[in-house]
This record gives sequence, structure tokens and C-alpha cells, in this order.
Amino acid sequence: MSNHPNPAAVQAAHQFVADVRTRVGKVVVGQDVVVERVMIALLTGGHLLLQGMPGLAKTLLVNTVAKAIALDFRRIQFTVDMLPSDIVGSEVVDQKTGDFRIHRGPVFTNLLLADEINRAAPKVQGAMLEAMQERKVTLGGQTMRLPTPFLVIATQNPVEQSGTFELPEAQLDRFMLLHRLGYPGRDEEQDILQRQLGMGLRKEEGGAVPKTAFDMIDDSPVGTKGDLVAAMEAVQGVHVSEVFLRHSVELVRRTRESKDLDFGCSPRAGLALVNAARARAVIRSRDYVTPEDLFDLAEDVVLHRVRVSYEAAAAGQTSAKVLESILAGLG
Amino acid sequence: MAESWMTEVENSFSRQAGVPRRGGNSRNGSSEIDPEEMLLLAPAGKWHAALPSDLRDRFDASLARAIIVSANFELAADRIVELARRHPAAGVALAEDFLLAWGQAHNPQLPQELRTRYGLPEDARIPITPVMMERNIDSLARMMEVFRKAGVAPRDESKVVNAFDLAYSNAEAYRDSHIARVFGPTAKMDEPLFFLLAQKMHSNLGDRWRRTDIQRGALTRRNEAQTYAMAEAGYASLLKMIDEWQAGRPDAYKAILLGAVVLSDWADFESFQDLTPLEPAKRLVASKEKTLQSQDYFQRSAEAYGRQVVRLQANELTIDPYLSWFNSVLGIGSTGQVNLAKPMNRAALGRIRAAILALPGKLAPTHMSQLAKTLNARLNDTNNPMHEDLKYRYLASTLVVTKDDPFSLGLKKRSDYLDELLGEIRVQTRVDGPNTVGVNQEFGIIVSVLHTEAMGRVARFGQYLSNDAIAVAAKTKRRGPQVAKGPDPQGPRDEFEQKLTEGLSPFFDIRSITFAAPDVKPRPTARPGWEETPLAYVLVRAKDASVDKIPPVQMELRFIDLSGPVTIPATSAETLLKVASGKPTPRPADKVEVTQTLDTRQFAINGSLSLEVAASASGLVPELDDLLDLAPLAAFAKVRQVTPIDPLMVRELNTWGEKVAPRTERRWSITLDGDAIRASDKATDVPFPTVKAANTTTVWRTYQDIDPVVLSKASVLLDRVKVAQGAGYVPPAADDYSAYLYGGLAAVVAFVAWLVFRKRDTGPRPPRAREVFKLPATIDGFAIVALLRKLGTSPLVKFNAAQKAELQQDIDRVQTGCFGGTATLSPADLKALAEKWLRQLR
Repeated sequence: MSNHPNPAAVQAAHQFVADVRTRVGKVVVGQDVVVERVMIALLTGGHLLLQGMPGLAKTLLVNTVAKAIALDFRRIQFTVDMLPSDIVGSEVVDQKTGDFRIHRGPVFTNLLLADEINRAAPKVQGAMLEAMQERKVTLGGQTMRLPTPFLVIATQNPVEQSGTFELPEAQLDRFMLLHRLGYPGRDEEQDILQRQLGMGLRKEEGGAVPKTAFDMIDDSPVGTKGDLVAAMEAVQGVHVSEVFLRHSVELVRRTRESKDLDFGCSPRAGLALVNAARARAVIRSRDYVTPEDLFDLAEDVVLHRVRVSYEAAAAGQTSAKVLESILAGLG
Repeated sequence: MAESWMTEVENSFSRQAGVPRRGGNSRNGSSEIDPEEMLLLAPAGKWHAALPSDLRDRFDASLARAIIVSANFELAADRIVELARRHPAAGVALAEDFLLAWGQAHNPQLPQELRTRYGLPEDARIPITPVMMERNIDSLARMMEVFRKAGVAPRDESKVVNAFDLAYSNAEAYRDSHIARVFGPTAKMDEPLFFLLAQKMHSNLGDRWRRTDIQRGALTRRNEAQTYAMAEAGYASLLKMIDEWQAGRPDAYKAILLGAVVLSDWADFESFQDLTPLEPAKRLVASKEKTLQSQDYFQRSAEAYGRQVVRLQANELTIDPYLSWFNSVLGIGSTGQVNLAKPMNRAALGRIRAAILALPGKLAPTHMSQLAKTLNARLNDTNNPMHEDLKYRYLASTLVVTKDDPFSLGLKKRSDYLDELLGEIRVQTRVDGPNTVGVNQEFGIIVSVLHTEAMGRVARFGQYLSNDAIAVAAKTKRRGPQVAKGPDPQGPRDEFEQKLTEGLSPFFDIRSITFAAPDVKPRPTARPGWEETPLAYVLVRAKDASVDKIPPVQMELRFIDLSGPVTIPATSAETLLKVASGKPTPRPADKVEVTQTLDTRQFAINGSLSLEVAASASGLVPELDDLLDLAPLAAFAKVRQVTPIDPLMVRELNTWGEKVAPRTERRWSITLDGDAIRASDKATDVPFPTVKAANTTTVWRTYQDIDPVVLSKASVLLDRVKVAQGAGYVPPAADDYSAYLYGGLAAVVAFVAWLVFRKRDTGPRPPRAREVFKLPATIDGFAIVALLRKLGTSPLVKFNAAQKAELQQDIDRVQTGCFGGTATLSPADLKALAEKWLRQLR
């Protein structure tokens, strides 16, 4: 079913994404998959949750992507004492006039990096996620739409760390993808160190500080919002075959029927899978989706939407293993 | 020269005493001559004797004034007396001027100039010590004695009273002895003086004599309790003074009326003073006592007025006795404070009416109409609007007194309108369940409003179920006279809660009050056109077996009439109740849910078991004895203790179900002794208690590690070593080594046997790729791609680099051929491709 594939549009979109990746590559070492996931999220309008330890260049990466496409970028560091108004904004009293005026929160941006979202209290998480879902915020009785595009890239530490509030499943489901970052490979890590050695100092105001990767970010964009919109249109035109749809549905249904899982995926997972597959196809310069897309994206789409049963966990099963067995039986 | 001297004296006196000059020329731009010097220059001896007689008199007056401004008061008094012998009128005038000057000289309040210069507050004063005060009083008393003896006592007695007040410390109540010394015996005081003094005392009692900040400013070191005692003594002293003065004047209705007002204010003081903590009961008794006394005085005042009214001139007729009485009955104090807690007293109002009607002839209707006009005007006063909580009571009370007086017609219409509104509303209390309750049994009282459908839309009963901050702020803004009612409630719901508590707490221990949601919807009733809106559920327990009813509960309903907001009290009828001894019948409960959680985590360590029982119900959750039968459990593990964790709690009031019922919860923890189970040789299937209550849903749980897990059956298998499946693992007891011993022996034997009898092979054959990978049942692009991917990643498949590259090409071909816009590979092609690769497997 399609949709009207437009090879030229797909090619242009592929080039646009490649340019962004190249720009990111100048600043961030490795993390190709993460960059791809960020682009998938941008091209589909789905939100992305990155899970990984600190120091894996998440902020740097998102910052670079935003600057590469001339998108407005904001970062919020979530802490335990935050309030919902710190996200969405509030009404403040104008001391001169005595009237209330709206103070927009950081959510009013194109690309929002919500760092360590699992450190904030559930109430704050809820406010954030509500804005993500509805793409509008009500302040002082006024409803204000969030800018377009609007994308949230949230990060969280692994929940085994203390002082965190795990996002409940219902809210995790709102994230199109949850990608688990790993540490860079040996060569990549060496490359990181090598790059740092060559950065030098930034001198200003009579003093100096060592440069970081953030200083390497080129402020000039490689594309515009218009290019992004065109790429999004190209994604919309990607062909999705009946067979693919059938197997996507089958995958989702098998998660619900698995005896090793307490609960499986909602229909939202199927939608996420198809949309993400389309975007991945464009990134690979294809105007059709393939099983490769499904298999590659399955983990990031499915794992945060399922939960292993107690018995299965006691038997040593993990959700990744369960998914692997489901995928093995698919087809 | 004598004329010049006298003119100079007049100037000095006018400037220093603040008295308007009685003639003479002013000397502009020149400062006055020192009074002491003036005295030295005064005509004396032969000069004085040479003065003409008319000049001599004027000289005497000027000389007296000169002496006044020189502050030699003793000399001045004698001069005034001397002068009065010749000119009585002049003597009196001088005495008054003298008092004025004396008062100003003894005024402890600092002059404006000094206050401004040193930045002092408006009320900055020099503290008057007791010694100073005694000296002042003594001085004043002597002067007044001299004046009285000489017959020059001031006619304007307000000056005497003011001088007395200034001589007195701000922080001291007048003493009887001082009053007697300065003014003479009370009974002999003439009327103006008596009222001036009494009203001064009354005013001071209502203000400075009860204020602790005045005490601190006067450095008296009086604490709150002592200040209270002083105020009490002041009231008693004033009342005694009124009684003494009035004793010889039975028709002095004004004095009796003043006594009534004083008693009424004293009653309010007892009720609301915060100087010293009094038990509410004592406070109430003291207040009620004074109130009853004041009512008696009002009655006597009205009767005294009635006896003399026929002798009064038209301009002397007054409604004061009845108006003050009316205000007192309504709780309106003489200083404008309103006691909103006073209920309507129809009996007292009836007595007011009777007193007016007892007036002879046309005087009765005249007075009645005048009273009606005055009360009507007060109700309609838009400049000083009446407090909305007082309006209805004021209106209804006016009509009780004035009834069908023509000037009350307008009020009658308003009252009829408000009564009509009340006619469509009834506050109701009813017992949730049977009206017979146990002595110590908790039960619920449902408070609701019965109303017509139209009234339900107009009245918006939900407003009484929340504390709307905007409404509270608006009401606070609307308040006119200060309300002496105690701490302001937070809002309508708090006021409603306060009324419920006040009404029910004398008879019941109130456990909780749960309000319906503010958006509560009315429910139909059996009466056509009428609905019921449930408002609150009060969980109570009767204080003792003598309680036989639910007393009336008042609710204040807010409406708007043409004069603005008005609050109308609506009171419920009494509801009969019976408190019976013996085991009570359980209160009604439906949809009971019980969750029983058996905690076995400590069992292996110390044999302890605990059972947590959590129950919820629509209605009141029964007692544990009525809920569960513990016998089945107790047969295996003795019950050590039953501890209520959470008492009966009302979580919400369900007003939308089949019937109005609370959703309640309670929890218990039952500690059990598991030693018998530990001592047993075999595993024990420990049953959960069985439910007694009908219509009960039960969930059984136990813990696995830290997580509670639901059980499929109502028992848990336990033994001293291992807990069976479904209940969590319990490690074996630390002192049990036999298992290790036998296990070790068995392992040694098995090893030896293996050594002897092992075959020389490598164990079971690992699977082969060709046995594992088969052609998919359904041949489509997806299945083939999946198969090929598995072949590429499986460790069982050993492909070389060329094969792997070709495999990837075929995967791409299938993806392009099957998932691109046009299908270029048929199922047969796909099958052939798959078989090609499967043939390459070993």
C-alpha cells in the first residue's frame, strides 16, 4: 500500500540526511545508530528516548543535529525538585502593570532535549508527556500550540540507579523509539581521545579554557526546515507492502500472546514500527520498506512496550531474548 | 496700667490655655510675658485698693487666669472662690476654664510638636504611675471639693469627667473610691454627670481597659489574665454604679437601659474575649448569665419608660429602650460588633412587642411604626449594608416584633419571598442503615438537602462543598461591621463543617466528615418534583446510651434578593435514634472486597507469620469478627495479636450509585505463631480465614521476595525447610547439615561410577544446520528474508566470505523484488531461492 513513492524526493531526503550525518560525524565519534534514530524521529515526528550512562555524547549529538538543520534547540536538565511550570511555563505578574503575562517554558521549541527525565517527579514527567502527546499547552486559560516541528529527545539513566522515578509503561508507550546507547568501541574511544588532544584552548576575556566538542559544532546549517519538511513528505510517500504490514501486525500480536510477557505491545507499536521503517528506508535511499527495517527497528520499538513476567525473569529470560525468539518465529 | 496688665494676662492665657479670648486686643508678633513675671507686676496693696470697683473685679478675674497659666493651682482655686462670692456666674466660668487648663496640664499624651520632632506615634504618652495617678486624683478631688463648697462647681460636667479621665492612667479602670472622691456619692450625682461618667466607663470597657497593648505602653506589667480580671472588675463596678444611682429613681429608664446594654456587651466580652483561656462551657455559662440579666434590665427599662411616657413631651418620646433591646437580642453590640452566633430568640422578640403594645393609647402604634421605620431603614441602608449572615435574622426578627405594622409591609414581602425559598428546601439527616445502633458502634449519618427540581438548579448546592477562595474573598470584602465570632472559617465547606460539628458533637464523637464532590448531582425521590442532594456523610459514635436522637443541624443557605446577598438558616428536624447495649447488628455493607496477604518471609528465621487483612466495602466495612472466621487459620497457627492498622475510613461518598453509600476501608494485621508448622515433619497447607460476610470478593496473596503475588487458591504450603511453589523459597534452617552430608556422598558415588563406566565419547551430538533450518510453511518475501537472515547469523552455518556476500545479495534481491512497488518475484522464485541455500547447509 502507498502512497506515492517519489524516487527523486527520496533521493533528496537521503542526501539531506547524509549531510546531517556528515556534519554530526565531525563532532561526535561513532554513535551512527543513534544519529539514525534521531533522524528517524525527526522525519516521523515521533519522540525518542535514549537510555544510557552519562558521557555518551547525547547532548552533543542532539545539539549538533539541531544546529545542522537550523532548528530551535533547548535543553532541560530534570531534577527531583522541578515543577511542571518549569517545563510548560507559567503566568507571572508584571510588576509594572500588575497584570499577568504568560511566560513560556522551554517546551516551546523545535528540538527539546529532556535530560535525565527519570530524575523528575512523576507529576513533572506527566506534564512533559502530556505536552508531547497533545503538542499544545494551556497557560492562564489560553491554549498554545507548540512549534512545528516539535520533537522531544529524552534521556534517562538505567533505572538501577537510585534517586530515579521510572517512567510507567503507559508513558513509555508515548515514545516511538527507545534506543539503548552502548559505550563506544575501542577504536572509537581512541579516536575521541585523539580528537580532544588536538582541540587546544579557547581564549577569551583574558583567560582560557580547554575546548570541548561543543566548540567544534559548526553553527552554519546544512539544511533548512524546508528541507526537513520535504524529507518528511518523502517519508510519507514510501511504499509499505501488504506482506510487511501483515508481519508487523503478527509481531505485535505475538508479544501479547507470549507466555513470557506480562503484557505485550499496544497498536501504537505497530504504527511506530511502520512509520520508523519508512523513515529508515528513506535514510537508506529506498522508497519501500523491507523486513530488514523491521528487524533492525524491532528492539527499539518493542522492548520498552513489553514486560517480562516474573516467572520468565526467574527463569533467566529477558525481554530482548523473548523478542528474539518471537522474531525468529516470524516468517 | 492696670488695663495693660490685664490685656497681657488675657493674651498669655488665651495662648497657653487654648481658650478663645473674651475680648481685648491681640498683640501681633510679640511673645507673651512669663506668667511669673506677670504675677510680680500684678497690682497689689495700695494700687489694688485704688482700683475702681468694676476694674477690681476684672482684675481679679485676670489675676486668676494669670495664676492658672502660672500653674499655681492652689492659689487659683482660692482666687476663683473669692471672686465667685461677688460674681457667681464668673466664678463658674473660671472654674470651668481652670479645669480645662488643669486637664491639659495633666494630659499624658505628648504634644504634636514633640511627636513630630521625635517621630513618635500618635498615641505616644507619658506613663502615669500609680503615685502620679493618686496625686492627680487627690488634687482634682480637692479642687472639686472647694468648688462644690463654694457653689462654683462647673456646669459643663463633661469638663470634669474629661479631667478625671486625663488624670487617670490609660491602663487603669476607674475605682469606686476615686469616683466617690472626685464626684461625690453615686446616688447623689445629677443625671448629666452620672451618664457622662457611666458612658465614659462603658466606652473604656469596650476598648482600652481590655487591651494588653495599652497595659504594655503604660508599663503596668499586667498580664492577660490580670487584664481580664480588671475588665471584669470594671464591668462590675459600672453596673454597681448604675444600680446605685437608679435605686432611688425607679423610673430612670435610661439608666436601666444603660445597665442592660452594659450587661449585653459584658456577655459578648465573656463569650469572645481572648485574654485568658476559659473552657468553652465556662465561657458559655458566664455569657448566658449576663445575657439573661441584660434581658431582665431591658424589660425593666421598657416598663419604666412605659410608666412615664404619658408625661413626656413629643420631642422626648423615643424608641431607644426597644431598639437597644432588639439589637441586643440579635447580637448587635453597642460598638457595632455583631455576634453572628446568636440564634433567633422569638420569646425575647415577643416580649419587646408586648412591651410596645402595652403603651397607652395611640402611643403603642406610634412607637411601633417608628421602630418599624427605623428597622426598615437599617435593612435598606446601602451606605452601610448589613452583614449578609445577619440579614435574614434581622428581617425575620423585625417582623416578629412589628408584624402587620404598615411600615413593615415591604419587609413582609421580602420575608415571604425568602420563606418561599425555604419552603422548597429541607435539610435532612438520616441514619445510614437501621436507626438502632450499638453503644460503641460507629455508624453514619447522611446529611442531605431535599428540594424541588427548580430549587436544585437555583441553589447550586455544590457551592457548600468546596472552599472557593474567590467567594471567601468576596464575602470578606462585603463585611460591614466587625464580626466577633472567633476565627473566620475558610469557606462555605468549612462553615458547613463547623455547623455540623457544633450540632452533633454534644451527642456524638465525630470520627470523620466526608463531603460529596462539588459537582454532586441530585437524586430523584419518591415525592414527585422533589430531589435529594446528598452533601455529607458523618461517621460518628454515640457518646453514651442516653443519646436518643440526632439533633437539628443548621445549614446557612446563600441567596440573592434585591438588597444583595442574604444568608438564610435552614435547620433539619430531629431524627430519632436508639442506642442499644449488647452486640449490635453490623451496619449495612455491600460489595465487600477482602485482600488477605500472608507474609511468610520471617517464617524460616523465627517462625513468625503475619496476615494482613485489607477490606473495602460500599457501606461500612464490618468488624473483623463479622468479616472473617479465623478458626481455619488458627487451627494451624495460633493467633498472637490482632492489631488494627487503619481504622474505619471513609474514602469517598458515592452519590451516584443505586443508593447513597460511603466507600470505606480498614486494615488489620494479625500476628501468628508458626512454631507448630516449623515443628511438623511434613509440609503444611495453611488455609486462609474464610469470609463470613455475604457478597464478598476475596483475594489471597503472599510475598515472593519483596513483591506480593496473587494465589490461585486459599492456602499456602509451608514447611520448616522450603516453601512450596507459589509461595517463595525459604532457605533451609542453619543447623540442618544432613542434606549436605547425604548429597556429598551421593556425588562421590556418582563420580566413581562415571569413572568406571564412562564411554569414550563426547556426549550428545550438537544439532546440524540442515536439521534446524527448514523451508517456511508460508512462502512470502518476509519469510524468505527472515530465513536468509538467520542463515547469515547462525553459528551453525559456516559460510565463506563469497557465500556471505552472495547471501546478502539475494536478501537484497528478495527485498527489492517483494517489497518494492512492483512484485517481481513469485512464490515459486522465492521457494527456489530458499531451497538453493538450504541445500548448501551441512
